[in-house]
Amino acid sequence: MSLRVVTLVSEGFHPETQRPRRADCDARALDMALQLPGARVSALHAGDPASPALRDYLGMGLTDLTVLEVARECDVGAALIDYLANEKPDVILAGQQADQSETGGFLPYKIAQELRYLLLPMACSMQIDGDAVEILQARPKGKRRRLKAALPAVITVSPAAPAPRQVAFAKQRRGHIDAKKVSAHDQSAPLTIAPAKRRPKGARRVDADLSPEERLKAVAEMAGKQGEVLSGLSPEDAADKLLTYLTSNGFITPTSPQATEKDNH
Amino acid sequence: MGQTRPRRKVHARRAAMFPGPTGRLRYDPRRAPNGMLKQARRAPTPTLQAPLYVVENPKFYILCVLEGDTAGDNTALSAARALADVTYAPAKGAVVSVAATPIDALDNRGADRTLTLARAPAGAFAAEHMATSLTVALHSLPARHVVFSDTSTMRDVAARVAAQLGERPAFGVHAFDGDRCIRSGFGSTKDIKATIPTVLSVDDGAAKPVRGQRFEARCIAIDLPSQNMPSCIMDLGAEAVPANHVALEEAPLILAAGAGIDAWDAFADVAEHLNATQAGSRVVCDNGSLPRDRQVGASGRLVTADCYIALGISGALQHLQGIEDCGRVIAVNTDPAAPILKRADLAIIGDANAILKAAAHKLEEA
Ligand SMILES: Cc1cc2nc3c(=O)[nH]c(=O)nc-3n(C[C@H](O)[C@H](O)[C@H](O)COP(=O)(O)OP(=O)(O)OC[C@H]3O[C@@H](n4cnc5c(N)ncnc54)[C@H](O)[C@@H]3O)c2cc1C
Ligand SMILES: Nc1ncnc2c1ncn2[C@@H]1O[C@H](COP(=O)(O)O)[C@@H](O)[C@H]1O
Repeated sequence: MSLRVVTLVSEGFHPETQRPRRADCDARALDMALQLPGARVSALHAGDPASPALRDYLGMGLTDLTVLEVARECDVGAALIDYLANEKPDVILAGQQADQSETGGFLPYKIAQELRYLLLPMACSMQIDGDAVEILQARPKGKRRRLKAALPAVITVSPAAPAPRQVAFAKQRRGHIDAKKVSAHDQSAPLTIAPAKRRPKGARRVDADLSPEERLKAVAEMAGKQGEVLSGLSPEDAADKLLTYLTSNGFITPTSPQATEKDNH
Repeated sequence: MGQTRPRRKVHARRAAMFPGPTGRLRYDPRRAPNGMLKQARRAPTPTLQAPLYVVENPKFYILCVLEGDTAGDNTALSAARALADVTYAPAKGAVVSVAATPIDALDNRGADRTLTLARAPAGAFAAEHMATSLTVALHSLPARHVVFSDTSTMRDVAARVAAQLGERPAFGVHAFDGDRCIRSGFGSTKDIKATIPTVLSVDDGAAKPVRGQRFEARCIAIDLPSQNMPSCIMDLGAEAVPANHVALEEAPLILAAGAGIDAWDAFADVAEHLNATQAGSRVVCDNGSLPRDRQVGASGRLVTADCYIALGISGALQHLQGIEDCGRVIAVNTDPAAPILKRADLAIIGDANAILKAAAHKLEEA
């Protein structure tokens, strides 16, 4: 029996223009699924079947895409869980976060919990080996870690995963959207949504709580500091200074620069 | 009568300016020297030990999960303090810091109690283990809120805890407003306000840092049934990836070349030896010396490296925009007037090509 993979895809939006498109992480997830050898890949969306963004996924090489028709204000999670509980795929792939996420990436966790699947987060590559899956997890500062678990599993795909394939126009047109009516679930939590206010960036914000003297010091430390200037050195001395600076500030390790650093979670 | 108003002391006024919360200079007349307004008396800065805040019988608990990373932990602790001290005042609650390993100096960072969870067994995935232990701990220590800092690692743990509790979390909370919290969502285009949920992760700036007070940081212990926590995800350990396979945005150390560079072999060698990610200005990406996805700047990538090494780059505004969020900048340039040198923490005036060759030679030998 071949491996059954469902990729959850959401409506994406370009961050600058707000034009609908395939969602960044979801497209990477679908690409990863399509590259799995011998897998039966399908894509699933809950929402409006007429959304133009969905056609982009078809353009990546799917013949059809299942859409659970759910009104905007209803709970897409419950609809997806009902459907997936019936389907019981071996692997559920999702984006780490939707382009226009309200929950900040919580949906895959909820699905994993309800279906009793394990969740492997932030994958940038994956391999299936029998009934186990291995992922390379993207961690901050370009670090990677390998995780392994038994199937079935939910895997979220990081924006650090390889860029997805192009969208082919003909396939985008030809692909079929299979809309399914589902019973509605209401969303319970009352939310107030307003346009985002501009906030000062982390590094520039100085504490409003400090005394003027302390504040002055903090600002002086942050900005006006002109660094060390070295001139008239021979190339060898300059190279020395550069490498010493890197070592003494811990940007490289002195003995073997490529030694894998200790991973203490 | 007949007395003239004292002349304004312009320089004194300027001297009394100080930077405001955004860094702009502000003038506060109360703090101005004589001749303007009467100087307000400031209490001498206390050198005594800060007062100790004691909670004997907390009415409620706020858990604050720490990672062992100072900045993120302080963000979480200050938000937890705000919840304990402001949101539910006058009821007195306790902030319980929770971590997998003991953490120092929690007394002046805001913890009333500290709880150390068992470390994940070797080979188990720490986030999953921590989430399960936290959910178990919540049975014996019912907390109103569990606060995390909003890093990707902690968000993973927080999402697991929320899922296990069957509740919706709030991620990236950046302000509190009474019993509601505000977070950004929909690709940072919207601010979402909702009741503060049990599980939340906070951005820095959500609450004022804890200062000038000491807390008990009393150790507490909870019986956690260890065999009851099967860990199912295996952690096979860190994997080294060549720095050049890492996206520029993620790279911690970047070696960048500009139009001043022609020693490309030495550039590649040095990058490889330092395990630095290669990047360039628009000029070198335009002329094909480096691929387009290596361009740093306004029309390229915005990078956040801890250290950015700019070789033969003049530092045009469009380029500087790309490195705004870098920690340290090292610049090598033949022109002592190049704008990049102003942004540099270490500036070397000299021929970058010769320096690259010398560095490649040294690294080869080492
Ligand atoms: C709309 C717009 C968007 C742009 N976006 C970007 C962008 O995203 N990224 C970007 O980088 N640029 C961008 N630019 C271009 C930018 O304005 C500059 O033209 C570009 O950054 C200059 O690149 P450079 O510093 O490599 O070259 P140059 O300005 O030519 O500087 C070369 C530097 O190398 C020094 N030098 C020469 N020989 C040596 C040597 N042997 N050793 C050491 N130093 C030496 C010189 O003193 C000089 O400072 C943009 C411009 C526009 C108009
Ligand atoms: N309406 C939806 N239909 C299908 N999948 C979705 C939907 N919304 C979100 N997802 C999936 O869940 C991931 C995380 O979404 P979110 O929790 O909204 O950030 C996305 O990257 C998608 O893979």
